[in-house]
Amino acid sequence: MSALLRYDRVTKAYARPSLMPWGRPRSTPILHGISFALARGETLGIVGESGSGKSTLGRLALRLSTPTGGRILYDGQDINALTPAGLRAYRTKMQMIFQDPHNSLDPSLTVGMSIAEALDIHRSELGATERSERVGALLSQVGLSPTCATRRPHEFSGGQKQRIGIARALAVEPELIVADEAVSALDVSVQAHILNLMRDLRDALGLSYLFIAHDLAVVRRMSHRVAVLYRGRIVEMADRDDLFTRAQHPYTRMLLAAAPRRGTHHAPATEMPLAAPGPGGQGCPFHARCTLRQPHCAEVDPPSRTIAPGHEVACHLV
Amino acid sequence: MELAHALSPAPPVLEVSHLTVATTDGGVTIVDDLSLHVRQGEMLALLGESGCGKSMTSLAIMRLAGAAEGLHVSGTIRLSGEDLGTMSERAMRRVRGRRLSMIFQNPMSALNPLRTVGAQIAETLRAHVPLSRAEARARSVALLDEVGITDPARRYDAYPHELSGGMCQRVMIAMAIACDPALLIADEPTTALDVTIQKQIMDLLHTLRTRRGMAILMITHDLGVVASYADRVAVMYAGRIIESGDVETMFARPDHPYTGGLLASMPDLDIDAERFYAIPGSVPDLRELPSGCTFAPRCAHATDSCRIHYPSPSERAGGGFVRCWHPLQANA
Ligand SMILES: Nc1ncnc2c1ncn2[C@@H]1O[C@H](COP(=O)(O)OP(=O)(O)OP(=O)(O)O)[C@@H](O)[C@H]1O
Ligand SMILES: Nc1ncnc2c1ncn2[C@@H]1O[C@H](COP(=O)(O)OP(=O)(O)OP(=O)(O)O)[C@@H](O)[C@H]1O
Ligand SMILES: [Mg+2]
Ligand SMILES: [Mg+2]
Repeated sequence: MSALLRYDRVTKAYARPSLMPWGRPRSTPILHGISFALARGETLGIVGESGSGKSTLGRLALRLSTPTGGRILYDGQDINALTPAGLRAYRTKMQMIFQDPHNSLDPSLTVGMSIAEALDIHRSELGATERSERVGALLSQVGLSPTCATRRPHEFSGGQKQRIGIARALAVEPELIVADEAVSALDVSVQAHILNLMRDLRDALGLSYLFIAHDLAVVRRMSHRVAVLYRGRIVEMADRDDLFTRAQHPYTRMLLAAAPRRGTHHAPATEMPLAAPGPGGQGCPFHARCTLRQPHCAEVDPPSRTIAPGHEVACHLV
Repeated sequence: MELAHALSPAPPVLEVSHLTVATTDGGVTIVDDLSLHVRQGEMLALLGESGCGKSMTSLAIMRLAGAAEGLHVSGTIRLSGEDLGTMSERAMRRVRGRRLSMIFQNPMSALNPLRTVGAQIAETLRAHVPLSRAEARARSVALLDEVGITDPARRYDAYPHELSGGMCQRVMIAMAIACDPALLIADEPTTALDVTIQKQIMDLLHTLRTRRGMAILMITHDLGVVASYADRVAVMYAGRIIESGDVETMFARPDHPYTGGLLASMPDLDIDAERFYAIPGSVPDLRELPSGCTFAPRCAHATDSCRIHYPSPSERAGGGFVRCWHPLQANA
């Protein structure tokens, strides 16, 4: 399988101006050596701690920001070496559903105008009636009434805005969608409806997804493969069944153990080591919280190793 | 005497009666005749389909839905017995953030992008509690630590855009609990958080309830969170509460078909199915509400009378009520 999207040792750091005018900007590394490949029609689930770099990773694919190191290839082309015309063409192939639906819609446009704008990217030939029909159809697909088209974003609830963002992303008919917590503001039934829609589109049109989510049950059903991010590193990546039944990294195991399951009314109790101390220095990024750590875990950053076909883990102990 | 005292329920911190929110042009009723209460130390979870009026209910309680927003609010809201509706705006500002605070659903837009997150927490503190700058800073760093922000002293100086979605959400939580409010309204406080951090936040809220008697109105789509942490549940559909009761009996034996459908839609980590179960159909637009029971068009049990008469409340086994002509347990 040839990869549609490939990350090759991608790093990202944010520079922050020094407090002193003469000082050098301080640079904070956010992503370290991220490598993976996503095939056409494939869904790669991305899970990990809040602040671990999931949104940053997704934004890089859309060129909403540029990597500090490494390359991102789309159909074999380095997306950061595209000409302006190449970039415009590239941008019609992918869409992002943003984590924060409140800031991603233009408040001055009606919902219909926002979606029509996206529609024009691919379907500039549509007449006015066809265009508004298509807008109405997209709204119904995400469970909203076509009459919503005439209203402005502030008249909608959080979950309704999120679905408008999804309708707009679908309007472009992209090849790849970066879905960043795309269904997190939805109740379980509407969420199920949207996820089924996303799966149907994948099967019918060969859409690919980078599917960022914190709900493990959802990730399990949506993804072909899953990458686990911890402090800017992929600590484990495997086919979804391998990951959910044969997780090796202590962080992945901790995450799976903490997942809520149906029918558990447990008394709240905190047992796992929670807050991770200070900014990660050297060694394994997880060592401070790891119950299995050995002395050298604090000194040497474990490289990623393939332990079974398609199953990579970065841990000294496996 | 002792025993009677132990058994009498704690007084309600929040009492909402007949709350109705409509657009001023009269076109749409967003929240319709809603009543609920939350007692001291209690967590009431408000569940319901996207767009059913949960956030609007909480904004009305905060008195943040009004003419300026094109909305008209009626009904009474009492906080520890005091009618918030008759309070001056000035008095209300003192109540907000101090006795009554809210974690907004949209953390990114609720934070000021031009000020550091630490300064925003410290400012909330100093608006209500006499503290020196240094004390407010120390307390703010401690709060950031409590909500699981790593390296809190450094993050104190970060601007909102330098933090991830889940970090901004936790900054909002820190701000909301800073002054130890009597009532906390939490609108989807953990949507962007991974399971371990979510657990840490929920455990923190649990401690605040049990140790300090904080009452919490929790709006969430996460049924796992509700099952683990809430005492009672109220389920909304199209602007009204259609079922309420204690968590355990309702999750085990829901009476309203909508509640039943919602529980059946919950994805389960251990069940390996290809498709997701969803309640058939979609929520009616508030401008196009059907007559009779608003859920009838999607309901497998609906009869002709359901399409004519809106159900009056009937008592649920084990407390609470349900608005349905054909409750599930009656057929069970
Ligand atoms: N513009 C920026 N400047 C400096 N640091 C930033 C900037 N944007 C993000 N960061 C930092 O990068 C890290 C990763 O952020 P990112 O938003 O990618 O996390 P995430 O995994 O999506 O988290 P969440 O699940 O909470 O959304 C965080 O520590 C954040 O503080
Ligand atoms: N200013 C407004 N004018 C007209 N209608 C509005 C306005 N604000 C919200 N609405 C409508 O009121 C309804 C309730 O919105 P609310 O934000 O309370 O929903 P919610 O239950 O919080 O949903 P979610 O779970 O998606 O956040 C929605 O159908 C929305 O479209
Ligand atoms: Mg994010
Ligand atoms: Mg809401």
